[in-house]
Order: sequence, then structure tokens, then C-alpha cells
Amino acid sequence: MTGSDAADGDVALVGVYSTPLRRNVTEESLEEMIFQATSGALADAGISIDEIDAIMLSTTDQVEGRVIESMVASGAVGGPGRDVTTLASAGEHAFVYGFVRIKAGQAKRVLIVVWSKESESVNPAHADLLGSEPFLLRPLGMTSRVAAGLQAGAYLSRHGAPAGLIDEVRRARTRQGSREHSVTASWSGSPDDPVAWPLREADLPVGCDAAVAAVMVAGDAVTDGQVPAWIVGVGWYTDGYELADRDLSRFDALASAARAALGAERARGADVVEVQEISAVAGLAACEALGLAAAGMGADVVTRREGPFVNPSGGSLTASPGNAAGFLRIVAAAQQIRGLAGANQVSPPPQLTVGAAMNGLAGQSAAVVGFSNTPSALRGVPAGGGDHA
Amino acid sequence: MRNVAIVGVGQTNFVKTRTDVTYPELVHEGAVLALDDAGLTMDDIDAVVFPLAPDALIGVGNGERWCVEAVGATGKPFMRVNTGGATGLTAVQVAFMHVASGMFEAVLVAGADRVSESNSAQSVLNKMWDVAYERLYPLNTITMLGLSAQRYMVKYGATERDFARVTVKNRLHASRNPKAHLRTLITEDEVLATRMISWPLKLGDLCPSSTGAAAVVVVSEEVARRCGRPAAWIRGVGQNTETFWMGDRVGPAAVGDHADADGLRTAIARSYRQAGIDNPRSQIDVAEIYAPFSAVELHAIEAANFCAKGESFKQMAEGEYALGSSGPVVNPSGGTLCTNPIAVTGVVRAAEIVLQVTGRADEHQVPQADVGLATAIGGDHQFYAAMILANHLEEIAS
Repeated sequence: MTGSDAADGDVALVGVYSTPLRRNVTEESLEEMIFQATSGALADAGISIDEIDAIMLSTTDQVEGRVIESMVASGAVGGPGRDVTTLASAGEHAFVYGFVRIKAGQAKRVLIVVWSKESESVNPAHADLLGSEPFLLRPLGMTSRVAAGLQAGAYLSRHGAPAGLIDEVRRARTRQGSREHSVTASWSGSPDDPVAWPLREADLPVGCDAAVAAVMVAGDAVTDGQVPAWIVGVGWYTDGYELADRDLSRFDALASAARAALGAERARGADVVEVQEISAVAGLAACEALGLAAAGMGADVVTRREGPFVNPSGGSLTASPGNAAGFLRIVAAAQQIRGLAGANQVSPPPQLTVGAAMNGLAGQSAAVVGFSNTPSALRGVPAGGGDHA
Repeated sequence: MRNVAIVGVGQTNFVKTRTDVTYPELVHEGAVLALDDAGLTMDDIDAVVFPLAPDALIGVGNGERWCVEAVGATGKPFMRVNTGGATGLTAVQVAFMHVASGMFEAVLVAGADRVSESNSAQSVLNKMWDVAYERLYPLNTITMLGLSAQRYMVKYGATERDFARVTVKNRLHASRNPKAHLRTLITEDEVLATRMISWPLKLGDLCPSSTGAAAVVVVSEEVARRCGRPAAWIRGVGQNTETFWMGDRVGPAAVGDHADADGLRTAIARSYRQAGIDNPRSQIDVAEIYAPFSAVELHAIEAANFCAKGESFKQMAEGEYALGSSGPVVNPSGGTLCTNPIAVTGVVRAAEIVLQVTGRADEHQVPQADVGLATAIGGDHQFYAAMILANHLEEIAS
């Protein structure tokens, strides 16, 4: 499928590259990792940096000890002389903004680069704590891991889930993640050490370093030789910050994002879903928010393989590069469509895949992207865009 | 391209500190002011773009998430922009893209900063530079732009008094703007007598550390017509980026001349091209140029192509660029030199141009201002943003 098959408004992902996911990258600087990802994505797309109209970056200021951290990437992403925008809440927003930019007719080809190198942090847990507001949550010790515990507790309590459920989910994820793109956890204690009830160390994402890049183009800019993943729809939503105001047993922002991207069916028609899991239990609620299971029935999707294949990559539990973790899920879904998922490739080739990302305490915000192997005209639907207004 | 307009702006009074509000409460003040100005409510807003620059200045990581309720974003698309000092104007551009895409009808840009409430803003900003090399010099935004000012003096023959004259002009302008932080009139001799910070920049050449909020409402043409408020149409946008390394800007191997703002020039040129502007000196009536230090305004005026390189300070000595002058008036609000709440300084630049081209700038109004330029600069003079706003959708005449 090339640009001649595309309708006005179609957008496709045509280049992807991720550095290997590793626990502690010491042999490469952050800039070198970013350059490697950028070069790899451009090579995959078969275009040069000179053809890029705009660059979207995403990183956070806290973890690696740099202020306005995206500054350091300028040379590595080919920034000088180009239009660069940094989206700082989450890597998936860089993807979203690339899409918006092309839909606005303000770019034909954009480069998106997202990274995390938490191994450079002296104390990532403390940086995480500083993400809580200073009056109530921070003195309480609220971190993303504690919030994940609250979410998991709320889910289990709401649905009366059996105690062995978490172990079952963890085993399913470990089996999938053993193929590719997983890192070996190196806990200071035991994987069974409690973190925040009911979660133990092994129930939470394993942090790692990575730089991930993608090239996104307008449909009429897709050329022969490129392998496009056509974007069906994009949705991104946020919930409120206050945990007490939310029903933590479900992910409302994720459900809203899925509806905006994919309509009322959400991800039900997908062949493959790559969803960011902030804990083993959260993955169940995430599947429910994506429409793959009724409330309280998410375990059927994860452990019994009912419905689409969820997280053939192993997901974020086996390797979670901080700010890039959600973006990685989205490009993993695109790679399944492109037939370039390596050892994680699902067979037969999927026709519709979904990538879903979350950020903030207990999944405050979310983004969902749908990919197809055919442009909109050949699917007989309008060009994707999401139903936001 | 779909027509997009700004129909509401809000700014709190900018001051050194606000101890009566939390950060989200401060953000909320600006958001409500802009929505009221637009005659809209939070329910009318489809999405929110949040400008927030260095997290450390407010002491909360990803503080935008804390403000979701404050800007009415719960249950809506929401994203944060961070391009340093350019953040505010980049955020307005991102909101413009939201509406131009056809996916949204009304987008709120709302944020705030409380720069003076970090223990040391310049210590925070020193952490922009590379851990192993340039951070150690020690660079901060003042020493960085002190180097630029020195180079400008050497290359074009400007003096410290020429820089002081910029401060005098902007303080006069700010004295007419009730929102501005530094509103006290000052003379050239008084500026020259202030404490030296990083030669040739003295305290009187520097912006304050400001606390306050700013917001704008960006809408489609349909919403603009429906709400019936004076509209400032976004006619052109442009961004550009330069090297991260200060070492690339000085010495024989420099990739650019630190005296000039060529990176900004490219961003502005892109916005001019989109707006159909080929003679800015006659087509632009007013400019709100991001210049946190006096010397920066001079090379930024030249980057806007209002005059040739090295000519701006000579023209300013003759009264150009001030309220009452015949050519483009630069920073009639007093500019960044008198008010710098970093995260939203770029929002203020756009908001002030909106007020000018809709004839609502009161005491600092530029007569017959139809077309205006807003700019912003972020990082170590690395990220640049520019936007052209006009009170009409006709071809911009010379």
C-alpha cells in the first residue's frame, strides 16, 4: 500500500526503531542512544532527516537530573534548523501531537523521539515522589508504585478476585516477555517483597533504559518500499489528579481514549492489543477499559487468551522504559501490523492492532492508537481522526 | 488551512510572590479570566494544552497533572508542552494545531509559574547544560546572554548605554500596563548604576522572577463567529531550533554568531511566509518579542527584519520601537524584561498581541494595530517560536 491508495487525511507510521531495552546502559551516552534511535527510524522509513518537517520529543525533567532535558537531544535528533516541540507529560503525547500536526496540514513527515535513561538517576524513587503534590500526597509518601497498589487493591476489592490471580497474570506475562524485549529484573531483595498491598516487586514494571523513535507521514507521502501501519484513530484523555475523586478499580481515561480512537467498540475488533500495565492487576482493568472484557473479567483476556492477543511483546511488566513505556506499546502495535515485530510477531498477520498507554498516578491519563494494514479508503471508512469534539 | 482565532485572553497581575494561592489555584485564576474574556465556560472547551517549563521552578514533577481539575480538563484530551522559555508560545501553537486539524473546536491554553519561589531560578537553569562539560563553567541564562551581549558590542559597536535604553523604554511601557511586574520608571543612568551581574549585563538589564498566570482560548472560525467576541486570527506560525552546545556558538569553530539571533530569524521567517508577509517593517504594527534581558531585544528586533543587523540600537536611540513611534512598536506591554513568569511568558506575548490587534490594550494600546508578531525563546537560546496575529482574514497589506 502506498500513498496512491491513501485518502486525504490518512496518516501512517512508516519507520520505527528502539534501542535494546537494558537495565543499565553504561556503554552509551544518552545522546548516543537518542541518535541511534533516530537514525534507525529514519533508515526504517527510507528517508533522510532533510525530509522531516517537524520533530516531536518527549522526556521528563526529573529522572536524569537535567532541566528541560530535551535540550540535550537537539543534535542527536537532527534538531538544528528544524521545528522541534517537546511534549512533557508522557511519550505517547509526542505520538499524538505528530498525528495532530499532520492532520492540521502543518507537516507531511514528522519524526518522534522518546526516551528514558533512569539508570542515570541517583534515586529514581525520590524523583517519583517529587511528582506528588507537596501538601498531602508527598508527605504521605505517594509514588507511582504506591498509587499502583491502591489501584490494584481497589480492583481486587471491587471484584472479589481470588488471591492467586496476581500470580497467574505474572506467569502469563513472563512467558510472553521471555521471547524478546524484556530485561532481567534485579531486585535488591526478593521478587516477593511487598511494595504496596497487594503488589509485590514482581507485580510491578521492571524499569529500564531505552530510546525509541518513529517516523509518521501523511498518507499521500507514503512511498514505494515503505511498510506503513495506517492509523485508524487516536484518542487521549485525562482523568482528575485527586485519587479520592476517582474509582481506581477502573480506568476511565483509558476507556474514553479508546472510544475516541476506535468508536464504541473500542479495541474489541483488534487482533493484537499492546497495553501498558502499571501493575499486573492494572492490566486486567486496562483490558476492561479497552472493551475486551466486562468489569471484573479482565483476567480471562490475559490468562485464558480470550479475544485479541494482548501484549505479545511481554508488555511493560517485563521492560518499562519510564517516559517511553507507553510510546513503546504504541509502536509495538504498529510493528505487528507492519510484520516487523520479530520474535513477537503474531501469526496470521493481524489486520487491526491497538496500542494503549497510560501515565500519571494510577493511570490518570491515557492514549490509544489503532493501526490497520489498509488505508481508510480500502476499508471503506473515513480517514482516522478520533471523535473528540 | 482551517481558520483559527484567539477569542479570549487572561492574565493575572504579575508579582514576585503569591502566598495566598496554591499552584493549581493560580493556574485556575488565569484560566477563568481567559474563559470569561471569551464568553465561554470550561464545558465549551474540547481540549487543554498546558505550558510548563522547568518542573523544578515550582518544585513538583509533572506539575501539570496536579492542575487537571484547575483547568477543567478532567475527562478531556490534555497535554503539556515544555520548550523552556518558548513553552508558552509553543503551547499556543500546539493549540492552534489542535483546532486546525479539524479534531477540536475550542482549546484552552492555561498555565502559571512562580519563578521567584524556587530557591534560585538561576541555579535551576544551570542544570539545563550538560552534566560533564558546560554546566561546570558555570553557565546560567544571564552568563549565557552576557556572552551574547559582549559579542554584539564587539561586532556592532553598541554600548552599555544602548542596552540601558531598552530597559528605559520597556519600563515606560510597563508603567502603562497594570498587569506588568516591574512598573517603576527608570533612567539610563539609574540602569547603568545598578549592580553588575555578568558583564555587560547589570541588574537593571535583567527581567524579574515573576509569579502569575496566563491563558488564551483558541477556537475555530465557527466558534469565533458564534461567540461574537473580538477575534485575533492566527495567520502564521513558525518554530526553529539551534544547537544545544554553547561551545558551538563561540570561537573559530562556531556554527553561528552569538551576536545575532539567526535561529529566531528563521522561526520568524517561517511565520511570515505562512502569513504572506514580505515587508515586516511596514506590515507589522506591533511586536511582543521575548527578550528577558535588554541586549536580547536588540538582536531580536533585527531577527524580525525590522532593520538590518547592528542597526536596532541606533534606531532605538532615535525613538524607534517605542509607543508613539511610527514604525512597529516593540513590547508595548513592557515585555519579558518587566515580567517573566517563564512557563507562561510566551502565552503573555500572544495574549498581548491579541489585546493590541483587537484594540483592547488600553493605556499601552498601539494606534491602528492590525497585525502583530509574538515570539518566544527557550533553552539556551535553542528553541524559537513565532506567531502572526491579525484582526482580519484579508491579505496583509504593506
